[in-house]
Amino acid sequence: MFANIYAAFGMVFDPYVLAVILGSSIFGLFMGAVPGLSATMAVALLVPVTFFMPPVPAIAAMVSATAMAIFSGDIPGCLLRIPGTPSSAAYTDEAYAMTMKGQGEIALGASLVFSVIGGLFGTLVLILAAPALAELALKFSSFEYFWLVLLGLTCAIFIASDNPLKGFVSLFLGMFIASIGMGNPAGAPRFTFDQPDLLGGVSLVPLMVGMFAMSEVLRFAVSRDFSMKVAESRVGNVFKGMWGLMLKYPKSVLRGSVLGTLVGALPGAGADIAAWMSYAMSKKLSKEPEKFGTGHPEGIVESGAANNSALAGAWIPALVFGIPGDSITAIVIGVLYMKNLNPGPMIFVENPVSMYAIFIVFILANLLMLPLGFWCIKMAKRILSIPRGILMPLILLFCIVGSYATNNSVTDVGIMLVFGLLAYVMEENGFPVAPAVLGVVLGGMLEEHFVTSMIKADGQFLAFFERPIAGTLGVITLLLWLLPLALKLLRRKTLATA
Amino acid sequence: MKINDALSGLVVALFAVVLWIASSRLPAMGQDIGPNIFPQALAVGLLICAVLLVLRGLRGLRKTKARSAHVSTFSTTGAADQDAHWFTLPEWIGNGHAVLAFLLVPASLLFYIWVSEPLGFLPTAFVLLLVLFVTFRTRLLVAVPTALACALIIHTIFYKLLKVPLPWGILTPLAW
Repeated sequence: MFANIYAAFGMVFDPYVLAVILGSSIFGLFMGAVPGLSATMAVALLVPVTFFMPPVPAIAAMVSATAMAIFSGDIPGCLLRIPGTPSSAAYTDEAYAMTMKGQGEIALGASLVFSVIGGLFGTLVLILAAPALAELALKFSSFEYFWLVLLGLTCAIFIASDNPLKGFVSLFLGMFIASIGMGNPAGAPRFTFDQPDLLGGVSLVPLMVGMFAMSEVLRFAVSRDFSMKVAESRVGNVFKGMWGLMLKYPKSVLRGSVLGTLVGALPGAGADIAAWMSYAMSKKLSKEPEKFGTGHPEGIVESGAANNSALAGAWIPALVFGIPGDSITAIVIGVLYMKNLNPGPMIFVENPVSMYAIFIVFILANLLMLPLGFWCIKMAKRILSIPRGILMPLILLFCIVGSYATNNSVTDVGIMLVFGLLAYVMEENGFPVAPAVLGVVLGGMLEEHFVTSMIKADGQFLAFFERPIAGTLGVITLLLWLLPLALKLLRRKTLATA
Repeated sequence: MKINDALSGLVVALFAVVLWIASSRLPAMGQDIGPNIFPQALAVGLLICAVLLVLRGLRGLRKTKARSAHVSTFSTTGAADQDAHWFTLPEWIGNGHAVLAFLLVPASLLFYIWVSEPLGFLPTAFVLLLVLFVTFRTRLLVAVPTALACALIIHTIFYKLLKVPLPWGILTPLAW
């Protein structure tokens, strides 16, 4: 084990990898700080670039960019009252209220310091929990995996969308997209319309770039706000008074980190939901809930820690089961497959050095956030004054070249166009996009486990419940499906009798 | 454009039926459980969702009627009131500039697909950026040098550093 850790340190502390971490950190800080560009988009745009890297720097780029983006999303929230990423939305009003009271320094400092603490906590849980879970998962057969994937997808829809029905439509659509091509257990070409380009399935990179980045450019094109005005504020030493906050709200820090990690680890719910839940919990359990919303740091401390710990938490199911914890890890899983680092319990047996390297990158990125984040806060005004009318066309061009680069073919630019428009229309009509991407990533896996299990069981569906763990998971999944329906019927009955 | 859930449901239902039929035509591989099973399961799932969507959409429309309000086919005002009308056009539809900006995004992708090979990456990227910059209200004096510099930078990143064979097109004799 120590030889492995030593080798992992060697892999990370290589000038090339360190340069990648630094570069993608700055990229992530920028993407997070500009409203309209999110952490998910940062990862989607990184995919084509990481395509040309060895596995460890590729993963390192994504880890550091997302960690930075989730923090820097707090900056415009503080200065402009516009969250830089959805994950900062929960406490944007609070942070802005602090800036208006002349305490912007404290708000920014709390965002930075407690982001780092939350991120480190999530990383610690990831390091301890992932290998232990993998040990357990080694005993899983296709039956357990089938239910696990289904349960994960179900959670994703019920937690992450306010409209589960539309979430399901999205999910099924994603799984249909996954079934295009020859990558199914029977190896039969499906839904390819005799296009040789589709035999290998829909390429993941242009699909994700289209759904997460191009749709955003479309939304910008009709949004009509091409430039922004930054609030006047002076920012000095943001680290002043942080130790005091830490001593004043130790429970909040811990609660935010734990809740964030857990929510992150749940499939489908990511940093944004972790922040909302954590802010609500902080207000509920606070000794002075009446101060919330008037510029009170407690909620920022708790949910600032939560959204960064969720980031690391999401990697637990992603690495151990290949089930993404949020839309960022959904993209990461696609990249892991491209790099032949197939996620699953075996990854800890086959690639222990790469795993340790990922853990080290997580710690390094979170520590690097202190100096880089401080610098980003200082630069914030200049970053926010870049007109978005210049930024968005650049992002579009970057999307085009990135899609083109994966196969060197303009067909992929076409795929990006189709999925960008599709994502735009879906979101306009309230169909969430994240379940579709989860469906694309997990569809193949679900089908494989389903078909293998069916063949093993000789077509007897009851066999899916015969093994103890599989049976338990199966019953939970079915309960989750039927519960909302049962509740509805019950409500109708009580209404009828009343 | 927002369309009523009843109509989205119909579209989904239609897709589900086509998916079922297309799947049933897939070659069986000598086993009961062939490549058709999974897509057909998806089709069933989609159909269930579609029926529920249609029901919900119709309920929304009925509510509008019950309020003795008029169910219009098209509405441009009630952006928040998707349930109340068959179609809700986006607010920006009357703004010519917004429509142009929106259409330019897919148009620039098509432009790249058709033109990048013969014309080459650098000229294509320059034109594409310039047109979009100007549309998004950047002054020409800023837009021209920015477009040129950015095209060159992106070309360097992908062509030199990542070794992506971006086409040279008409600039082939000058290729560096």
